[in-house]
Amino acid sequence: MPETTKILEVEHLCQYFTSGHGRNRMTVKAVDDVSFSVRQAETFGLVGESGCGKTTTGRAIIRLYNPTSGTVRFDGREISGPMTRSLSDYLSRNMAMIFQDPIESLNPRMTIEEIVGESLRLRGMSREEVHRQVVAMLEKVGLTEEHATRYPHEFSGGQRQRVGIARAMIARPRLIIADEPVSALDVSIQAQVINLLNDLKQELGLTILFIAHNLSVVKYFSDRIGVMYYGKMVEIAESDDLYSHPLHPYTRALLSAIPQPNPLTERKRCRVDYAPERDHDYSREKPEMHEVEPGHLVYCSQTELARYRQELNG
Amino acid sequence: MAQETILNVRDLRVSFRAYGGTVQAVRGISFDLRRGETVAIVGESGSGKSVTSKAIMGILPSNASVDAGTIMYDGVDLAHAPENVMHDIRGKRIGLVFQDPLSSLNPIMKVGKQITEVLTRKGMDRKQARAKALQLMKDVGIPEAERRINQYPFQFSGGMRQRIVIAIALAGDPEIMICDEPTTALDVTVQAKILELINALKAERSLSVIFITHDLGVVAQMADRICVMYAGKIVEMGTAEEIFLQPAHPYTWALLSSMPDLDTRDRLAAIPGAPPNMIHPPKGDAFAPRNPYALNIDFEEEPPVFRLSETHYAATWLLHPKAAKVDMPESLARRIQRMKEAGGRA
Repeated sequence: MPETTKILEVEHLCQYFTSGHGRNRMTVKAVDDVSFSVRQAETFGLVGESGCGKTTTGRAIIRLYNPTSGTVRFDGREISGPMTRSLSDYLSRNMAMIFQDPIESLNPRMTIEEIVGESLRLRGMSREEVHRQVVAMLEKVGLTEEHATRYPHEFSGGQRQRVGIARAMIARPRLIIADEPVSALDVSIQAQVINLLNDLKQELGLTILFIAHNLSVVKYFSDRIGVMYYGKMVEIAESDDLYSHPLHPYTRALLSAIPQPNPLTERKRCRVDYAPERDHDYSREKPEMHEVEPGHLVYCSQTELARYRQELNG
Repeated sequence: MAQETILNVRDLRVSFRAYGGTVQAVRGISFDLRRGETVAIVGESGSGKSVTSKAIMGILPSNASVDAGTIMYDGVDLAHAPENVMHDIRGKRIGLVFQDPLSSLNPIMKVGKQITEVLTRKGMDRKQARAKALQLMKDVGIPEAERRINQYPFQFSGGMRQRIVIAIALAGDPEIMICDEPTTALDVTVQAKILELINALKAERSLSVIFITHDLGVVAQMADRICVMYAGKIVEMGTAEEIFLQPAHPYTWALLSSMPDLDTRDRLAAIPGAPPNMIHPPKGDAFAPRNPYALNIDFEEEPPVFRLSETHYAATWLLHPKAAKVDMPESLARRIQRMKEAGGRA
């Protein structure tokens, strides 16, 4: 398969949540008409502030929610339709998720072997085979065989996240959805986990949807990045392009807010604010996703599109 | 920078009684805070940075004890002051901003009342206190203060809640403000605004700030001077430029290298292993087991503090005149070069 095959295609995905009944009924558009695709063996980063819908997008793809509308295709097969036995089986064989909180996401009453090997056991694999594979996977993520019989509370945060990674990887999924996998960890441990994910990605040819808010980490780890704001995807680009030529005013505001470990630039830095009412005039033209240049998409109106093109070329 | 010293911490040791033994959280740290400056304390979780701030405020939990050392503020030793003396200092002359604005506010008390509480306790009448609270809310950038003063914490967003906490900390007109990870729970865009606010208030009120964080980016933006803590000790101390551009301790090197900046492409230099168990702190330099540059003596004896300049100190045997000269990792040197170039451009 060529490198550029689209393995995951998300089209017009909407995920709404409702609360209350009758007159008090409210709808929250957590993800509103989001489209993007992820290529085979690439890392696609999703960034945005809390509440922008990045986690919901990931969870809707792996079907922890039932999407309100839109289609999601994985390797050509639609996975956003009604949940059937065969779809559920297909999802669990092909996708896995790594969660943010390594404490909450591991069952405190199960041993590491039970946690990591659960999906294999559910497929009817023999006890010896599960054990063999669990130990091999633990070694791959930097743990040892003796850890297999222990319980989650006996581990440090970084080790727990390694367990979470082992659990996600053991069924040999083709797509990993990593939801803030390092934000709960200390700086020195973050680097260990990022390196581990990078090694596994190379070794197993994984495709990763990487959801995070730390932009330096996302930039380092991702090939392409999608920026979300209030349920909308506002910009998609190669990560270098996004950082060197951000076009959408929200992307600019977000980039200007990342603190950089350099006192020489930090003190002089000037931050950009994003105010949707001030920055856009959508009274006459509706904004849409436009390709400003190949591979660089921005959510904008025709007038803005012309201006962005000029900026890029000028 | 020859301003007067406002707070002086000398050889502070704090330990906790816990199951399985005594945790030595802070093992003899010393630093000064001068008027109008920001000192940042950087370290990973468990390095003792928050314990230090709690010791200064006199709010250590009941299983903790200050074993040695002094914290001198205005002629009073805060480490050993009786509660009634601390009562007049805490919140009035030293303000504190915590990490999580939701758990540091009272959920069933209107925010206005939480701000005026400090003022009425100082003997101000209620009307004056309310006017002052409104002014404070405006100072910290809360729009529609007249309406919002009667709201409860849950009606505010995370950033606005943190502004309320800052307003409460400022209500007593403190000289010193201790910010313990004030923006860790916030989004980057909100964080940027809160940091700007703290810097503006500091300049306006000539506050001295102790800023505790693990985020080196935030430190670079806020700090005049930096203390790097590891395993209950300050391993390196210097001005922001000295720590970022001429780091001398291997732990500082490792910390700087392990975090990607926007130009990092190489493999990240992760610090191997995990921080030590502080019930049984390792003999010698606590960082030695994770330190590729460790010398034999690092495992035997604690390194003394070497003076590199008027303001720059580091505790590592590598600086001993008899030690072989070791340069910082090349990738870090390249990164510092990039930092200097970026600084020249900006």
